[in-house]
Amino acid sequence: MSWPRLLVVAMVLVWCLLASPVPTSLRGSGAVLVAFLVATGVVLGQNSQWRVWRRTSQLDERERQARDNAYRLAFRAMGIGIFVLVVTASIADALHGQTRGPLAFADGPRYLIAALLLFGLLPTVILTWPEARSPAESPSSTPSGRLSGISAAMRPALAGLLVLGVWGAALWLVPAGTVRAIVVPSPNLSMSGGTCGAVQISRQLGGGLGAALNISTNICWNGRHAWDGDRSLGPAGKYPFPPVEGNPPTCSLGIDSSDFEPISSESCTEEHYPSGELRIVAQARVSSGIDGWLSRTIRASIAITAKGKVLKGD
Amino acid sequence: MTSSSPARTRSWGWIPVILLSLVIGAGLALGATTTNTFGLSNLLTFIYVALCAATALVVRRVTAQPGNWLGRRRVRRVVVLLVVLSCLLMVALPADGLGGTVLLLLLFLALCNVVLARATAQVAVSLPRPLDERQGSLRDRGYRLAYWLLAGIAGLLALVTYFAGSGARAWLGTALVSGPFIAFVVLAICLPTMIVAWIEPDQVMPAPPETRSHVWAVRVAAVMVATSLLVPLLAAIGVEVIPAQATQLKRYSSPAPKGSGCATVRRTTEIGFWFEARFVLDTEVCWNGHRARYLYGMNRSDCMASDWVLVSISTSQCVRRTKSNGTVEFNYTAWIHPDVLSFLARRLRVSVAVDRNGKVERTK
Repeated sequence: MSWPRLLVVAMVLVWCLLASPVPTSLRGSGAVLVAFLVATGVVLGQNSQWRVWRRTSQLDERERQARDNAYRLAFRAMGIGIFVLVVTASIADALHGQTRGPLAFADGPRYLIAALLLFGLLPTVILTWPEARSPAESPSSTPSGRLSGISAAMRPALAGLLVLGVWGAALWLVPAGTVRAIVVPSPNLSMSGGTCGAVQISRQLGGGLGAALNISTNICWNGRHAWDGDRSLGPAGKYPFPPVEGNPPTCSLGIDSSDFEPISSESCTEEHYPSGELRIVAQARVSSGIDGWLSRTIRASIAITAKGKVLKGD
Repeated sequence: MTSSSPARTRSWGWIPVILLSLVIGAGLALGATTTNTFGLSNLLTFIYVALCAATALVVRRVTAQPGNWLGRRRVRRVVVLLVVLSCLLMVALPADGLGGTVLLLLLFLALCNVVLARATAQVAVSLPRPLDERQGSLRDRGYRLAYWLLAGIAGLLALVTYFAGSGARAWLGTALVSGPFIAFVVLAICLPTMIVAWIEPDQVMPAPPETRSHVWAVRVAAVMVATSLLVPLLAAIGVEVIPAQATQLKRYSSPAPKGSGCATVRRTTEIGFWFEARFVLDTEVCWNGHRARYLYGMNRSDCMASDWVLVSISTSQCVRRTKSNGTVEFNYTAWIHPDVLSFLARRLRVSVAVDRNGKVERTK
């Protein structure tokens, strides 16, 4: 098998890994997979002289026919690919214990990126398969393969590094966004003598393409105190204050979208103030780049008064 | 000169049609089996989906010249715009109100697709004959443009909604199980034909030799298309005009002292054929010569259809009362809308009345 075909097989396998419901999390390796796909896409593009992007007038009859065949197949394959992605997103959602079905497709960036890569790479990949050339025949090995002083052999590596760089920059430069949702009364918890609400705070990095740190908990209040409703009650069924040592808060700490950026050192703390206010703070460390040399602390917090007023949620 | 091998194209071209038919058929069958026990209706649904798939395959294989009218670019562009408008309408429909409107739009889109396929002499779909150079060039341009147009629209839409915030992201999630995804599937099938119809200049196609078998094939295809389009419309009209099926009334007396007793009354009402609904009123009533009273089966929770296929039902009245003469009466009135032509509505009243002596009165 010629090396372009081997590359195509590798690309298909890597794309399947990206789009597959298993493993449920790529644990930060997603950016590397995307960089690999982009880099190999550049290699195949060079090998095919970027025929799928060129004007018809720049191609001879045989090249034009091959390109048009590739587009016809790519058009059909694109529809099937999207269908497969929606199905795999549903399966992944079910593996997470959720029941959102195809709605999960829009929840994380993994399937969105898989779809965008599918759109961008499909014609080139299909064009490469039937007429894969050996390196000696590849036009990219000719002197015309040099562009702006960058050799053709370097361009795929640069493309891959560019992807990783953009991802790292998004992690560092784009401010973390906050999504907040509070449902009162809580659909999961009710308590006599108090009101409970379901609280969800999500801090997202990289405009949604990075990691997200979620707090999901039930908070109750009775006019004198606010407390973590999921926490077990104290002795004789009393409300859990003051917090007993060794009785940690139960705010379930959800780490989402860690497909593209690994997260470590999560923590969740709970603070009670004399005024009855409750404050829950979660934080985690998000790493990017080689050996985590690009890293950032992401923090989500919420403060609720004894009367149920949300003072802060970021 | 001919373009690429037609055999190669033909081997792939029908796959989306089969896939779409399987998906729609499975969806309809799943929906039907989960909401009803009509064996015949399920069978009819499967037969209809199979007919649509067969029609699509036959139409794709029969080449017919567009004729003077469909050969005009202006006419073709109007049809393309109608398809685009239908897709936009499908995108704009609320996810919880799809029902019959989508079925109607799909029928309309199927008709438009047949018209466009004929208007373009089917150059964008698989053909049992090689294309000439002009047709091959048109088809290839159509697929190239269609690829980047569909990929561009889908990619841009996904990116914008993903970054626009949680509300837009939720819309994208919902879109995958509602009208926008159906519009995407429609475009994934029809877009190359639409583009060819749009870009092709006014044409005068050379008339192919009209063999006897070709004439018959065109007629069969036309009949199949007409049948595929008309059958659901007729079934929808049937909900409106077919008389309600013979209402059955059964009574089982239980042993009791003279002048009193209990009985189970079952009244079954069926309406429509294929697009149909069945109402079963099952109640137990006792009487003592002074008044009748119900034991079960005359509550608000009994005001619902027991089975339904491709119709939607809305309750307009659900009343139980005991008259001064001791008769207990239960009335359930509902509007039945076929999922196709959902502006049609049939009012159906299901009622039962038992007097103080246990006699089941005939209700109007």
